[in-house]
Amino acid sequence: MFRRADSLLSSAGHGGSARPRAPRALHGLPKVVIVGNPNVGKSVIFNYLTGAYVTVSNYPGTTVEVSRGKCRISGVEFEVVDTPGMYSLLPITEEERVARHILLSEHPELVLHVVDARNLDRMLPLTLQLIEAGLPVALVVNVLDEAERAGIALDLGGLSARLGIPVVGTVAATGRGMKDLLRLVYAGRCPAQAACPAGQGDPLTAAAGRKSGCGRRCSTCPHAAGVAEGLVRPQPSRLSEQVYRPALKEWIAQVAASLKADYRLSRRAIALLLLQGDHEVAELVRKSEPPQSWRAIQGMLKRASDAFAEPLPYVVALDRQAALRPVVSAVMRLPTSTGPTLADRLSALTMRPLTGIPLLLLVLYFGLYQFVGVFGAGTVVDFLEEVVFGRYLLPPVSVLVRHLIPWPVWQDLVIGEYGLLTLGVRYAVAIILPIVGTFFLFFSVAEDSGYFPRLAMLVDKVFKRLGLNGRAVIPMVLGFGCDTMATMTTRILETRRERLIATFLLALAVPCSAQLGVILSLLAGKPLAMAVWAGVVLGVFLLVGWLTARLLPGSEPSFYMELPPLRLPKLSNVLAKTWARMKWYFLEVFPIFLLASALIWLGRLTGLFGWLVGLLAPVVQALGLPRDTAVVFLFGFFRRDYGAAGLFDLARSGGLTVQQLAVAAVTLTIFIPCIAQFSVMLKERGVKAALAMAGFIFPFAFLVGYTVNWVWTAVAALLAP
Amino acid sequence: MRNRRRFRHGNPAGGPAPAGVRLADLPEGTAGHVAALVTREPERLQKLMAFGILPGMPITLLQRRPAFVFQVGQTQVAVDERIAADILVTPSPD
Repeated sequence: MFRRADSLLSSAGHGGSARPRAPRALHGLPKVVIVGNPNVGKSVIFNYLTGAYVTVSNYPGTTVEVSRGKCRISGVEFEVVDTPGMYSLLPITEEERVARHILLSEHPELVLHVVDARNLDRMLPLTLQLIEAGLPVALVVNVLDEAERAGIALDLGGLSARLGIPVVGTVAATGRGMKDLLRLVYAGRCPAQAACPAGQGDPLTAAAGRKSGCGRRCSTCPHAAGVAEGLVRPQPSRLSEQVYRPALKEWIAQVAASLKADYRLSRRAIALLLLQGDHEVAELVRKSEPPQSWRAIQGMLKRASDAFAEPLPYVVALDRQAALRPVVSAVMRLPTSTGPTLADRLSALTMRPLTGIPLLLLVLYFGLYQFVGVFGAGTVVDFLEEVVFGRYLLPPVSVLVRHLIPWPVWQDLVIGEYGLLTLGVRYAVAIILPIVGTFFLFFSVAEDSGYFPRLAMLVDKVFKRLGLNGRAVIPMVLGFGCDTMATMTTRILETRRERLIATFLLALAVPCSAQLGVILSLLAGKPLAMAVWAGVVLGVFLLVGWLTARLLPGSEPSFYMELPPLRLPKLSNVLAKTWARMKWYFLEVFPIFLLASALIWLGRLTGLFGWLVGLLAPVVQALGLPRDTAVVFLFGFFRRDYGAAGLFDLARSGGLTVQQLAVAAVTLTIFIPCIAQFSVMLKERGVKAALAMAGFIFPFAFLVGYTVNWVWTAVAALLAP
Repeated sequence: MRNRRRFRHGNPAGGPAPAGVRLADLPEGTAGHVAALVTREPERLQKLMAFGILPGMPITLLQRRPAFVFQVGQTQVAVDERIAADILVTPSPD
């Protein structure tokens, strides 16, 4: 997926096509790059620094998202980049590759390594690697409050002295320490304030910047005088000289000495990555060095790996840990022993099957059924549809349109039965948006509270039967919001086999929130239809998943996941996430809704629509459904939720029996994915796999619908007196 | 491929394999230290190391079912049985 491996680390790659497109306004600004493990508060710090001016875009050639924004401190502007989570400079996941690529190709003036104060010991190895790579790194020790609450005491000054880099302690969520962070970022740019007497140069006091002459490039600032280098560039600190055992040091020196080309990283860092078996770096070195010296290096790497009993990445990690152990024990004091906190107890309850499963059902009942189904798809939809659109918006607009456009054909395009406004805008805004919005709100709360990893461990055994691992619960749950977004998220799964199975199950048997909301509100008060629908769809999910896992070759997936502490989600973060997701969704869905309305209008005008409905009608009638449902299924091609919304309309007018509702709901849920989801399937899984899935799902949906209808009729006949 | 072979870690001197019990075989509540990691997959090894699961780290097994949950340092990690079998632990005496 990551095609530009050759440009990575090489100086030739800079400024070429490999350079990610930054928004125009950000070009030329000094860069601050935020890195660190997932879940340490990088995004909160990013949001604090950048405020409103933020763009989120896919990194070129990948689907990994990178946020960029502008930060302004005392008149000096910076570009701030939030990278995907990374554990090590030696990448495993695509996210880590992207993060590394940003670090090494975008010439950051300052790298902020954000770590969790409680887990300093396991996050410092990355700091060490950043220092080794020669990057201008500063350490941000975040979540200090939770560390203090856990009884952990930290000596950040001591840490800074031992590592030879600046260290700032923060609680990003509350803003504590963030002023120090701003000062640090500013100092990385123009160090005058650090050297300025009497705080004149404090960037946070008004006019200070102007007085001290800051706001210009460091090289031109009269106050700079080399302070910047000393402050932010890591000193060739004694620590990084003493990390590796002598035998390994010799190999590093030997490999480094054989490297002749110019690399962005120090030759020593390149040698270390080569020794650890980094394929990307090996490829780069192969291309940069003459063939005979590459062969010599390969021989060296082979001999080096044979010289150690264990794989070199492990040896390297052990040495780093050993080198950092005295640092950590000198600056970090752990609590002797504390009893479990309330969060610990609750966490344990969510993970024990006996209490965890009832808790899960409660979460689903209140979060999905009551909040998304009853409130979102019921109350809010009713209000928007009947009051806002039905009473206030559509009647005057209809009058206006009839007044402005004299031709009935064009009137139809806007306000006809399937018009742009009556169908396209109304479906998108009044029916789908409230449902998706409430779902994303629910999802963001669950995400920020740390519940998903606990859910993942709870369902791992079941998912293993389907050829997946517990981690897949995240795309699956997200699928209940939007299958398109969820299909993209299947990237977090490690093997191609798992990604295939997850994509297939999402397309087959996971209804999106719009569909779910509509179906839940349709079937509300009809417990039998609800039970049949839920039972059949769950059955199909498990049975087809189990069969696919049997038929698809490949190794069994493995499950390992960090369980972050349960925390109370912060409202502003939850709202920001929900808003971002809703925006993405709306931009995705709205044009397609309008296009669908226009196409249907065109289809009706030309008779094509009637012909297609006529073609589909016998299939629909074979399921015991009225002819009109053919229209609903046709809509479903454009978007799942579009079809579901059509069903909603049909049922409201009272055209369906309970049996028909159940059959239609089952068929529509399993039915072909919408255009957007299908296009993502094509992109992510390839043409062959996507077509094969669609080719199975289409007839299968009708087969299941047919079976449900047949069984229902047969049972009803048996039970009839 | 050198990494395919099964190896034991934690004895850089190349001496006898360290004594340790597989995490998968320990009863709930056992505390001790990580003795070694035993795995043939370099990527999995790297992931475990990223979680801070390295020889010498204090480790406590909190739960065995439906997945293995343990605390290593200040971090809680959930793994399946196969991975739990890759982690060797020296239980504390008490």
